[in-house]
Amino acid sequence: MNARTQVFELEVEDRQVQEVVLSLFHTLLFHRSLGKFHYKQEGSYSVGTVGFEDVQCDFVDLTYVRCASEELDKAIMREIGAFSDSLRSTEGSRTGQISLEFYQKKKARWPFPPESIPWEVWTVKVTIITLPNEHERQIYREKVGEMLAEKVMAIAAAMNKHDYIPKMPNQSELDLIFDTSYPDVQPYLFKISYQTCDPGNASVSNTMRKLLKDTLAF
Amino acid sequence: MMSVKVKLSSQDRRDLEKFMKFLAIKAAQVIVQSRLGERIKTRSKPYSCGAEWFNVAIKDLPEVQAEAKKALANQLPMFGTNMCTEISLKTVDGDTLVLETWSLGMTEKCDPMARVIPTVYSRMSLLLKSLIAVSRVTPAYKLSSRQGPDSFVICYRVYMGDIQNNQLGEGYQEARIGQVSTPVGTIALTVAYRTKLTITPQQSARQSPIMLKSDYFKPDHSPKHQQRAQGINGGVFVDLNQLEQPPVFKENHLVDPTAVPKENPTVEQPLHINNGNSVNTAQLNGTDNHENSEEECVNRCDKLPQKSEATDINGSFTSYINLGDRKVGAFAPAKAPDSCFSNLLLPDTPFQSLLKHDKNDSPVSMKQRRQQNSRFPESKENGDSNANKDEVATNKSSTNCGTDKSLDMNQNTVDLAAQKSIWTEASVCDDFVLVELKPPFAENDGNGDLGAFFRECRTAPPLASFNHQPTLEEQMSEISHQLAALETSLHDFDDFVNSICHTDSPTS
Repeated sequence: MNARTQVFELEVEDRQVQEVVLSLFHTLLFHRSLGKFHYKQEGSYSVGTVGFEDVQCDFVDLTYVRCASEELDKAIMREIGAFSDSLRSTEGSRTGQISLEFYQKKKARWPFPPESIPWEVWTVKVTIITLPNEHERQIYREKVGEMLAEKVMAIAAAMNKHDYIPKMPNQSELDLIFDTSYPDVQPYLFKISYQTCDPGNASVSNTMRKLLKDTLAF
Repeated sequence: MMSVKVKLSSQDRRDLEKFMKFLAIKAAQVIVQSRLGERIKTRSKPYSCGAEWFNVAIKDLPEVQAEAKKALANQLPMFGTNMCTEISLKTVDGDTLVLETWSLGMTEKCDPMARVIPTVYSRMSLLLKSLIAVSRVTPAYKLSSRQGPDSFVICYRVYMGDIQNNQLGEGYQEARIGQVSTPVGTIALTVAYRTKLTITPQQSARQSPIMLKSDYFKPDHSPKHQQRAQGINGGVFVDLNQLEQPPVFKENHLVDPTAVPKENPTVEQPLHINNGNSVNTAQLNGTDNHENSEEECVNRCDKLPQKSEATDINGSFTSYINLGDRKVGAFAPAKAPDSCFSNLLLPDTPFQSLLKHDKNDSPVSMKQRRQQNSRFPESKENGDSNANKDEVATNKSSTNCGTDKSLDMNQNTVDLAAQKSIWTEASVCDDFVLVELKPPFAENDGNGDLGAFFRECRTAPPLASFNHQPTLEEQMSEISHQLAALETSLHDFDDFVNSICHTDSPTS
């Protein structure tokens, strides 16, 4: 388990959570998605084209880019929406973290299912803040935009270090590296997981619960 | 051309050079398109077709393609020679501010193990994706979405050479988008961007020597839009006025690649569709009149979307076309200076009679002459010395009246001295008739009265119905008549209301 990890910590308003996480995860997935592979013969394949679209945030002064893939967008939105709802429904001081984990599968001996090996994990830690008035909110809207701009640059810098990414697979092993369920793009296998908690309650039981949940997820 | 560090097969070398060339072109496309002020959307395709490089759907705008190719001119970004894409802002007043410079260059560090296909190719693809993502988060992106003909437009320029970060003001920031290691060196893409968006007075004075009210002339004639395009190599200044061949592109910022003169690879190409402030470069040469040139421009814009696959910017083209057909209102401020020259008025101008005062009575002409009068002593000398020059400049537009000549001359003039001479000529021709001025509706010729006259001219005439004010008795009798009439038809109203309720009730 020596996956690269990078953590972003952000303090945002509750209404900003969804867009903040979406902007970062979409930027990551845009980098980590390729065109659909079409194998002609063993060792030779053609690659489709990844389109992109600009998305303007409502609650943050930012425009980000995402893959032009409705299904991918829906899948991410589902996870991040649930995280945002969960965070917003918590009473008191609210904090949580959501991770985008890229992994590859490794075939295991029968009867065991393939093993998942993460190779890159991006975590966004979010703390909810409350601002007193609209004026402050407007200022903070721009400030969060600036913070995210820095993060997007950091993502670009990290992506272009060309650290380890799984090798291009043979046709038979394509599903071990890429998520081939989308009709238009082909992201590396990824998984989004989150947890929300009140910092005062970050107890052993929560940790255990997460461990169990993560174990069962595989 | 490239210093080769490792032995590359000729096929690999050809591939690599081709990839680098297309990376440079696509990078320019991404940067320029991100500054159009519009949201971009391209479609993902499971099966890519031939022209889609690096497996990323990036549209090819033909103008940008031509500019990038022209800048490259069979070179490639290599050691010490970067391909720079400069984004600048140009205000309505003609001030220019360089906002950012994107630079694609190469360092000597090479990776002999990197295979051209697929490693270098896929890394270039990743670099382009990073460029797409980062181009949305620099300050110029937000500015570009706010551009408009009334405020500022965003221009771009593609050139080969050193990065000129000194134009970015104090406190500019640099960021590295990414790099791709190849067997012959590392391709690096960086951006340097301005953080202080203040136009200093020095810049203002240097860039826009002619201090005139922004809407003083017809927008298309305005001299302030003449900008010197600054060359990079050796600091050559390229002035649009001095081009032998008038470029067909207008400053409404659509570039016809075939018309851009080859010897001037660094002419700035504004991005936004900007009818209001466009300078017709054909007019600058005094060879075309306003109406024709505008038509020509509209036609050309019509053609552009056909040439381009880019549907996203078609909206702008269309909006420009609409603007191009616009008729300026009779009392619109931009046209106001023309009102003093009745021979310039369109015959079908509404309320034309209101403008047909004595030629000398126009408040604008008077104001103008006052300025001329006050400037006369200093400008006369210059005017004499430059008289021949002005005559040469205006000979071509022989059909225009004197004032149009002076406008054309303004466009042909860049330096301050020549500008002074224009004022002189105009004032000499008119013999200072302002002494005789008696503005209509004015007791004396103070500025306030002129202002009142002008306001009166510009407001809508009072409706005739206001002229007849009924007396109180008349009003009362009219009201009682109305009440009586309503009472008599009371039953009808009741029936009507009942019928509505009746028909509605079954449905609800």
